[in-house]
Amino acid sequence: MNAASLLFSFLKSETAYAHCDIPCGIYDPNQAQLGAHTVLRMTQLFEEHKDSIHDVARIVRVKEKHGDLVEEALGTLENDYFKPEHYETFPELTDLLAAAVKLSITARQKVDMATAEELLEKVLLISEIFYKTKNVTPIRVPSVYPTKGEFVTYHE
Amino acid sequence: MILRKFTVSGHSMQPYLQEGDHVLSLNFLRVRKGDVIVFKQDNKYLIKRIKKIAGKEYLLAGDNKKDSLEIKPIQKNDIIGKVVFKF
Repeated sequence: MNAASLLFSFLKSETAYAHCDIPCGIYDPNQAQLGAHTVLRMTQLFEEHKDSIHDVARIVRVKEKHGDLVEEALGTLENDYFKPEHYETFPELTDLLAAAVKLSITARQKVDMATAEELLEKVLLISEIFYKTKNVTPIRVPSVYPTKGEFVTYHE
Repeated sequence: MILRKFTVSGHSMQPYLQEGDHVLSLNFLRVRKGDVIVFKQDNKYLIKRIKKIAGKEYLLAGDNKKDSLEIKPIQKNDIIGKVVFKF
């Protein structure tokens, strides 16, 4: 703790957001879902192409990029969309977001199917909460992707 | 409250402010173009720099142009305080 931190430690600290948003109200969990599916697909493809250095390099690059996208998309939901009342209604949301971000990092560090699948599952759970906060009913449907994973959408 | 402490979240005020920096704001100082202020919008505290004061409207933007777009103008009573110290 530096001197200034110590000096002003008697003051309660609040969060001031320095984010990029125009408060446009356009938020969507689909970006995170697409990113998580891509991470999963790249992990699957890695197994199929691991004998080709060239293919592996390209697969890892895409996995890295989409892992980043998942983290960024979740960060936007966490910092710009979800409000205190959402965290009160869905107390599991804080841990879910933290776990999903951590998994997105682990999925980039490793080539691990269990991690990629768990990342997708956490993103789906967050997506379900997102739609509930919009007062619509989330539904899980089979995705049309080769990952064979699910996708969360909604109906009125 | 006259003096308030905030922790910065986000990157739009880089390089002046980094994620996790602490700032102190005072609410009785006159704010001018170029000042960094904390203000309230949609029940959240935001931190930006004043780009222009047009009548009763304050036009704001972040310093980091890669990660900041101008947001809708605010009024004087939206301002929580002027940032006077960071650590």
